[in-house]
Amino acid sequence: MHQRLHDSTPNGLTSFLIRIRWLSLLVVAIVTAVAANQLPNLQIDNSNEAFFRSGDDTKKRLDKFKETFGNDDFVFVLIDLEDVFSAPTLKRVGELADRLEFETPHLLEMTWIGNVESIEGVPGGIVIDDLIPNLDLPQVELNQIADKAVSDPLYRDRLVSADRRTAGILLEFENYPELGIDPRKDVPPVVWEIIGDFSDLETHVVGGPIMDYETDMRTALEAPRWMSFALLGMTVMLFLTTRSFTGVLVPALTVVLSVIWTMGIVAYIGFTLNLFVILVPTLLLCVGIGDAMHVVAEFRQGLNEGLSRRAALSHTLSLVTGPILLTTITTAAGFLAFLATDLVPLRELGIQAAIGVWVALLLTFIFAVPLLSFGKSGVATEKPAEPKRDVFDGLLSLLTAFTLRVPVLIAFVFALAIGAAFYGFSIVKIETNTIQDLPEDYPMRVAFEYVDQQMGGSMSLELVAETGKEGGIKDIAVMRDLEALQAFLETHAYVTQTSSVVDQIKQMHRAVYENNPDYYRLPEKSSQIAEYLLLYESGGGSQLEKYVSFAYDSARIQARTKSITLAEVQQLEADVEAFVAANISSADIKTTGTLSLMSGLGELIKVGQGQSFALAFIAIALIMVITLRSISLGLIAMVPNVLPVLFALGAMGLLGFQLNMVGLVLAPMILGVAVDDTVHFFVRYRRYFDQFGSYETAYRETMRTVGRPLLFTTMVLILGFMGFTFTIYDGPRNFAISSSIAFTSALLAEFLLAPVLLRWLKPLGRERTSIAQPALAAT
Amino acid sequence: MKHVTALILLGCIVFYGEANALTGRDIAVKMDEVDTSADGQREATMVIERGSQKLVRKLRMQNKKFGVDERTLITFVEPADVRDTKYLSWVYDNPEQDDDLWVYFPTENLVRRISGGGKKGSFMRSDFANEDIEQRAVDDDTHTLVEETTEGDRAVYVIESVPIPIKATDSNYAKRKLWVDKEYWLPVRIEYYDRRDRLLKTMVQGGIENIDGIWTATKLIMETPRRNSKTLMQYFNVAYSLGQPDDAFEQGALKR
Repeated sequence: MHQRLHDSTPNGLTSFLIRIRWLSLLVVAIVTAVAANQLPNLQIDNSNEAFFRSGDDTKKRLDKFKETFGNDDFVFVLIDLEDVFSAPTLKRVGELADRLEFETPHLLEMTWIGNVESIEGVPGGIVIDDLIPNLDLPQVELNQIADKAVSDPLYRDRLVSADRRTAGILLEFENYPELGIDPRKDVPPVVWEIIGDFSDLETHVVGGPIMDYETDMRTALEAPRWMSFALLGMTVMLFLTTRSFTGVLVPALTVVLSVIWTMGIVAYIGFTLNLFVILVPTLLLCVGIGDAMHVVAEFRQGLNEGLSRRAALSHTLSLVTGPILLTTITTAAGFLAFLATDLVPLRELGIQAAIGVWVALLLTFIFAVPLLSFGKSGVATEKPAEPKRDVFDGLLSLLTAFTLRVPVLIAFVFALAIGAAFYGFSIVKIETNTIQDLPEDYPMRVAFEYVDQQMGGSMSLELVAETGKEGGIKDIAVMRDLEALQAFLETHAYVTQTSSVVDQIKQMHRAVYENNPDYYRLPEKSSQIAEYLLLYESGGGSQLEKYVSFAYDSARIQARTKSITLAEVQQLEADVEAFVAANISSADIKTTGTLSLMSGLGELIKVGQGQSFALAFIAIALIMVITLRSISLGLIAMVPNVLPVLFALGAMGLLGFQLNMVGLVLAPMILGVAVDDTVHFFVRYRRYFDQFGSYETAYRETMRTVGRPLLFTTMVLILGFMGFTFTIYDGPRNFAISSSIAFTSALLAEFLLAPVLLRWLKPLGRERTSIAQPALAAT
Repeated sequence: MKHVTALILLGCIVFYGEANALTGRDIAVKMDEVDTSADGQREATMVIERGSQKLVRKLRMQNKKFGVDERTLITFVEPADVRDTKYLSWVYDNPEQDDDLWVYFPTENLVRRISGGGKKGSFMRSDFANEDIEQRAVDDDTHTLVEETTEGDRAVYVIESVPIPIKATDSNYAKRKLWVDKEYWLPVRIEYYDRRDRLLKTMVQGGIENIDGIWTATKLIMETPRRNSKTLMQYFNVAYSLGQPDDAFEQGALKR
């Protein structure tokens, strides 16, 4: 008797699902409409700070920094010119500066070379005046001012480049109001519009709000492309593998509905989307389709073997309900392992993806199954139709024969690959500088590189000296320490420029002594510092707020750098730390700012990747051991789960990919997805071993029955993930390639390595002598 | 005939009313004339609060009128590290003439004349700018009466004062809006606006006392919401017409 017909009586679940099929479909329709209605509420947020939890040290330091020295967000507009100080040019730039000052929302201050003050000593006095008192000055006078400006560290390479060819307009912002969705996003459209009216000027724009806005726009543009391509790829693959209308339509519709439901829930909960979470819809398409595909595959095989529609469904559910429930649990566990990280969006992604896989399972039962139940009710035939063999069956037979013939070669090749992967993994570099992720000719990257080249650097490391007492920084000892630290930073290879309150004190000292350059140094006594600071703050001194805390208890040193890599940031931080430990005793020095944020992210990625992988591994291993009712079988089953992670990370190293924030998703996700194959393979393998008592037969039968759906789900998954290559960012593209390597190696490990290990290690005990022969094994 | 009489009467009333209506400038002049003293002295304590931080500053202020011009001497008392630092300013009524300012640095026993800007700067990191502390000449601004209303239970004029063009660059403000008490001729509330007509700061004056026959506000609170900052300035020991010598307001006296 055909083994499949054992389970052909409609069971309770099937009958129930068929009985309520109209109701199910109605509920699905209503929930889908409600969920779709929620989709417009989805918000995108790509700011780096959004990555940190509120209690994180890096974030706490940054928040304190902002509270003390104000919002550090800025937009820097750079204008490429023949000569900044030519009278007509200066006027034109002035017009642009005026418009920006007048129209930019949330603006606290607009600074350009045309509105800064100069403090200068003259015989018997100090002149505090605008550097350029009026833009109509004759060219001779403008040239004199230009010489003064480019020799002053306060302006050179900040507001005007040393070669006078670049002018900078700096827009700084108030602490954003807590109203609205994200007030900083009000800024870029206005800035772009104004700049659009000055098309005669060649401008470059950089800054946090601009970068985040661009990324948001780009993400919003790319995400639908990823998803469309994934869906298209899947449809084509489904058609190629099933060659049937139902085989394409049912899984595709089920998974699309899962995505709509999940995103609806996400919008309802109020999570924001970011570069991570934007992966979710495409990820869900790929991960969620497995359940429906297994159902359809078994169902069609049942029909082919002569079962009635109802019996085939019943048979299918009795066979796959357990495994797809299990794969849902394990995949969800893989995603929930992201809760082990401290990165907010990753935690959210974990929750959302976990919700998504459960939604996909639910819809498989309340949508796919009812849908399959419609149609002509065939009658069970005693003589099943001869299954058609195609290229995929041929391939699977070949693999089976190959594995049985050359197990040693397989083990050897895998051992070699593992060695190479370990090497590759050891050379993977973590990178959190997102600019490096963009193509070299992308305007944003061009703008950053322009700032690096013309204005001495687009990034900065902020050092905060805390004295712990009001007025503490007026102490001459603290000032000398700050001066020493600043001098050390000036000599550091990665630092292009530094600034601190020490510069202002020296400037005041020189001004008090009638501009005698010998006095461009710190004064002798603390009281002089206090008096100079009083004069400086009263005489305009807008810069003071940026460098000294309100209560004079802490001061900031800004070290500007070019766009440097994470490794370089960490080197710089380590060098600063070493210098501080050896030389600074009067104040506690802490690092913060954008570079520190980057470095903090790098650390979170390193730790987070490890922790979430470990958690996913433990959870999944536990589930496997319990499900397969054998510790050794469960642990062997983890081999084809873990190897793909190693291969993917190894491939990243060997291919020179950088592990960035998107890459962080990789390891736990691969584990969560690869485990699907393992569950289907091992559950079936155990079942056949119990039935036939032979490792070889169990392997042959497993390959014959689930081999095909496993091959198909992997192919669909790979093609779906290729959707991520439609991006300008390196991150998602590398993610797609690494994932594809992972899924391929997961399948190969399942089909080739696992059977070898099972036959060698015999985790299910000795083979039985009287072996039942499978009815269709000969086919 | 009755109608003609009524019309004439109405015309007279309107004419009388208009003849008695004050212009914005009239109100500014009235405010300027409140302080009838020849000179004065007061001590001030400033408590500056920003977020969770608080600073206390103490100073002594002396002033004397020289015709239409006025001279002010500020001596810092606290914090201790700037004690005896002095600022002497000569404010001229003529809008064409730039004010003069000298600073005395006690540690080095040096006096330096400060010229140019500086009015826009913050006064000891408080919410007050230097220009808010100084006496402002009436014709540094054009004044427009906006309305007559009540502030709290006090009848007030509301005027808008906009700096005249040559003074505009010296000021942080494109406009000030003042609520002037009709009885004391002192502003009880001032709003400061920037070039974009955004409200920058608000000052409320209270504790109005009659000292030596002169109505004096002894409590000023200036708030800057965008900086989450607030300054309370309180005056003590206010005295007028003390007969302070002229040379106390000369730069040569700073080193004494």
